[in-house]
Amino acid sequence: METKSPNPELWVDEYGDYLYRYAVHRLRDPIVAEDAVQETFLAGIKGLDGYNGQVDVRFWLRGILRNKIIDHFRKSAREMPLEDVEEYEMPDTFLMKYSGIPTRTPLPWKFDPRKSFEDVEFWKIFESCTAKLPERLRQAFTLKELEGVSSQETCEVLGISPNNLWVMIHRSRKHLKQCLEKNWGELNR
Amino acid sequence: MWTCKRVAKSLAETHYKGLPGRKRLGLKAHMALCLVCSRYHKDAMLMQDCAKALAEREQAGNCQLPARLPEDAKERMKRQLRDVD
Repeated sequence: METKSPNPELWVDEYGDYLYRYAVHRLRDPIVAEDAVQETFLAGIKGLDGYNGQVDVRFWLRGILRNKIIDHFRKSAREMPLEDVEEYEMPDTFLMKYSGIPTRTPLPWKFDPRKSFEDVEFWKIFESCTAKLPERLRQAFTLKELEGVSSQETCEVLGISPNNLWVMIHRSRKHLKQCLEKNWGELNR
Repeated sequence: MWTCKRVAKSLAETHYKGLPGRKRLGLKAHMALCLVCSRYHKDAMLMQDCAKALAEREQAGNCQLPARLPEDAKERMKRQLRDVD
C-alpha cells in the first residue's frame, strides 16, 4: 500500500501521465483534460488531510478527477441547445409500451467481442468507436456505462429525463455495434 | 416470472453483473424463453461487458491513446503545487 506522498510536487511526475490519459479519453479535448488534471492536483493538496491511505494515491487522485469530469459534463450539457435532447424522445410504439424495447430485435452479432478482449488492437478500435459517438450520446455512455454513474445522477448531470437516457444508451450501443462490426468484425471473422 | 419491461428496466439501470444472484437468474430465465427481447438484451449485456472491460483497462492505465501530459504543463503544475504548498 502506498503511503501519503510527503511531497505533492512529485505527483505530477508520478501520476500526471496516467491522469492525463484518463482525462483525454473521457473529455476528448487535450486542453480541457490538462485543466482537469491541474484542478485535480490542486484539489488533492487541499484535501490531503482527508486522505486516509486506504487506497493508492493514484486511485484517490483519479476519484477526484472523476468528479471534475462529471462537473465538466454538467457544465457543457447546460451549454448545449435543448433541442438536441428532443431527438432522444422515447418512441410511442406498441413494442415500447409492451416490452420496454425501443426498436425491433437487432441483427445478431457477426462476431463475439468477448473473444477479442485480450487483443490490444480490438481496444484501439473500441476506443475510436466511442470517440466517434455524437457528443450527447458519448457523454451519456461515458457516465452510465464507463463510469458506472447511476441513472438518476446521469440524468441530473446531463439535464435529461430517464426516457431520454434510455434512448441515448440504446442508440450509443447501436452505434458502437455497427462501428465494431465494420472496423473489427469484418477483418477478424 | 419477470416481465419484458422489468428486464428492460433492470438492464437500463444497472450492469447485469451487479444484480443479486436471484435477480440475475430471473433475468436469464426470462431471456431463455422470450423471443421478443432475448436478442435485444443480449446485445445490451454484451456492450455492458465491453464497457466494463474498457473501464478496467483504463483504471489500470492501459488506455490505447498515446497521450502524455506535455512537459510545459507539468512544469506549470509543479510551480502551482509549490505555491499552494
